[in-house]
Amino acid sequence: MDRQSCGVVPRHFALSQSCQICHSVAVFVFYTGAMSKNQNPYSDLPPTAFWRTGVAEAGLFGLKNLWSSPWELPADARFSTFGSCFAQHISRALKARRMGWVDGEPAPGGTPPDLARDFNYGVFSARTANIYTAAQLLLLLRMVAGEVAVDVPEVWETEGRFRDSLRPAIEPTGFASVAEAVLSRRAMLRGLKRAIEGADVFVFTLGLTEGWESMSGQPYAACPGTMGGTFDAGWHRFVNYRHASIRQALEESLAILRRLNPAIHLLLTVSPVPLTATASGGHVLSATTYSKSVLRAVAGEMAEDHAVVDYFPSFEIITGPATRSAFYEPNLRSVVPEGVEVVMGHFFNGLSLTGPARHGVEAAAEAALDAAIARDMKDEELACEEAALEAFNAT
Amino acid sequence: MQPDLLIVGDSHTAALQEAAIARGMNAKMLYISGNHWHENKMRPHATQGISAAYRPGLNRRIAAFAAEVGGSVFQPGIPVLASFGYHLGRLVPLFARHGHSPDGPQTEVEDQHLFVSDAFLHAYIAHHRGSLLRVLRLAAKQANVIVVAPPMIQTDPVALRFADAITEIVRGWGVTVFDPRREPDWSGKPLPDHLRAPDGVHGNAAYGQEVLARLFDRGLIRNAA
Repeated sequence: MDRQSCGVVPRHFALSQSCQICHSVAVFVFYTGAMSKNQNPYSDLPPTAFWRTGVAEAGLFGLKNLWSSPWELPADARFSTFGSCFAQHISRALKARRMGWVDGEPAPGGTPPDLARDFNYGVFSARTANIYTAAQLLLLLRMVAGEVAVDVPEVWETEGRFRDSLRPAIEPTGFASVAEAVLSRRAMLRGLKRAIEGADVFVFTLGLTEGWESMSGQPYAACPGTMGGTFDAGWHRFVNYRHASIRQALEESLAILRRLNPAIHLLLTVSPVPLTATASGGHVLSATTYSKSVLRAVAGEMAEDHAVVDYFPSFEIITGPATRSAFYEPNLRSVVPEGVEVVMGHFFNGLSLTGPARHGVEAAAEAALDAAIARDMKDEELACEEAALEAFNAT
Repeated sequence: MQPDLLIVGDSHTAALQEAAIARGMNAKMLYISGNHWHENKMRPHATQGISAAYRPGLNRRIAAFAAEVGGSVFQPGIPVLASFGYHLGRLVPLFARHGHSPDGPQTEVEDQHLFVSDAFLHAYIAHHRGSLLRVLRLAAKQANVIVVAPPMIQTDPVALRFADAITEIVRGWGVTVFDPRREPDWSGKPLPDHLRAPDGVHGNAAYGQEVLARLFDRGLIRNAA
C-alpha cells in the first residue's frame, strides 16, 4: 500500500493498516496537535465537506471541487479509455476537445465515419467493445501480456457466421471463420497494448458486478445467447462478482498495466448507467445499487491504496440528489448529453496538465508518416499521368 | 468508321492502346486520370455510358468520346477493355496508414499489423469504389466488357488482397475479368522487367500485346476485327 493521504486538510493524516489477525486493511485518520475548546475535526473543513453547502445549496451546476487530479500530468497528456458503455462518453469528450486520446486500433485511413461506427472503431482506445467487469479487463490484459493465448477464449458460431465471445457485436455480421475472429482479436490486443504503452492515464469505467462465465472460468462480455452463441446451462454460469474478487482483478490488472508502461496512471470511474436486467434473483433496483456500491467501494479503496490510481466521481455527478435524476433519459437509464457535459466539465477542470510535454517525438513521427504517404500518393499521380501520355503518342 | 475496340480507364489503358494500335486495330481510348476515378463519383449514364456530371469539363470529354464512337462508351458490337475500379496506388497507402491489413498470414507474423475482416474490406471498397464498380456492372449488361485488372507490380500483400477483393466483387456480378496475376506464367511474382514501362509501375506495350493476345486466344474479345 503506497498511499497515505485522505485529503487536503493539513491537521490530520491517514494511514492504511492491516489487521494482524485477519489481514484486512483499514484507513485510520489521525489528528495532530492540540485543539482549542471550541474546535473539533469539523471546525476547519471547507464548504464542500458539508452536505448543505457542498450539495444542497450548491445545486446541480454549483458543485465545486468534486475532483482534482492528484497527478501532475504532461501538458500533452494522453488518455486511453476503456470500460462499460459510459466510457464512450469520455472517449468522445477527449476527442472533441482535441485532447490526447490514444487510439491504439484506429480505423484504416480513409474510413468514413459511418463505416467506422458500424465496425466499432474509435469507440474505445482499441476495439475491445464494452468491458463491463474487472474480470473481463484482467483477461484482456493477461492476453496482452502473453499469459493467455489469443485463441483460448471462445468463438461462437451461429448460422455460418462467427462471433468473438469477448466482443460479440464488434462486427455487424460477425466473422467469416474462427480464424478470422481470432486474427481480429489479435489486432484488438495489439491495439490495446499500444493504447497502454502510449498513454499517461488509463481511464477505466467499471460497469457491472454481474456477469457470465464458462465453467472453465472464461468471463463473457454478455450472457451467451443474448448477443451471439447459445446458452448452455451446463457450461455457462452466472457470477455476481464480490468485492474481494473485483479488488483482486483490479490489483492484477494494475500490475500488468504498470509492467507494460511503468509511467501509466489508472483513473477509475463507475458507470452511472443502471443494470438493464439482473440475473441475481433480486429486484433490478436493489441489484443496481448493490452492483454500483461494490464497484464504487473497490474503486475508492484502489485509489486510497495506490498513488498511481485515482477515482473520478462521474457516478456521483449523475446519480447524486442534486440532479434529481434530471440527467437520465425518460427510460431512467441512459444518460442525457447535458449530464455527460457536466461530468466532463468536472473532469477537465480537475486535470492538472502542468508537467512538461512528453509526446512531441511521437507526434512528430506521426506527422512525418502522414507527409510521406501524401508524397507517395502524389508521386503515384505523376507516374500515372505520364504513363497515359504515352498512349496518346501511339494513337 | 466504327472502332473495333474501346479501351476505357486509367493510366493502365496506355499499354493496351499501344498494343491495339500495333496490332492494326481501330482502337479508341478514353483515358481518365486515376485521380478522377479515385473520387468514385462517376455514374452509369443511359446514353453516354458514363457520366461525370460533377465535373463539367470531364463530362464534356466523355460525351464527345461517346458521340465519336457511336453514342455510348458501352454498346453492343464493340468490345470494351476496362481498366478502372482498382486504382490501388491511391487507395492502399491510405488504408494501410496505421498498419492495417486484410491479409491474415501477414498480420499473424508481423506485430505492427492490425487485421481487418473481409466484411470490413468489402464495405471499405464499396465506399471508395462502389460507384465505379456499378458502372462496370451496368456496362457489362450493354456491351462485351472485359475488365483488365492491373498487373502485379508490387508484392505488398495489402494491395494484392484489395485487387483480389475487387476482382471477386466484379466477377460476382458476372463481369469478365482478365487478371494477369492469375496467368500461370505471371502468377506469384512481380511482372517481369521486360514487360514494364520505364516508370516501373505500369505494363509496357509488349505487356499490352501479351494481354491482347491472350484475350483473343480465349475468345474473350468478340466481334473484334
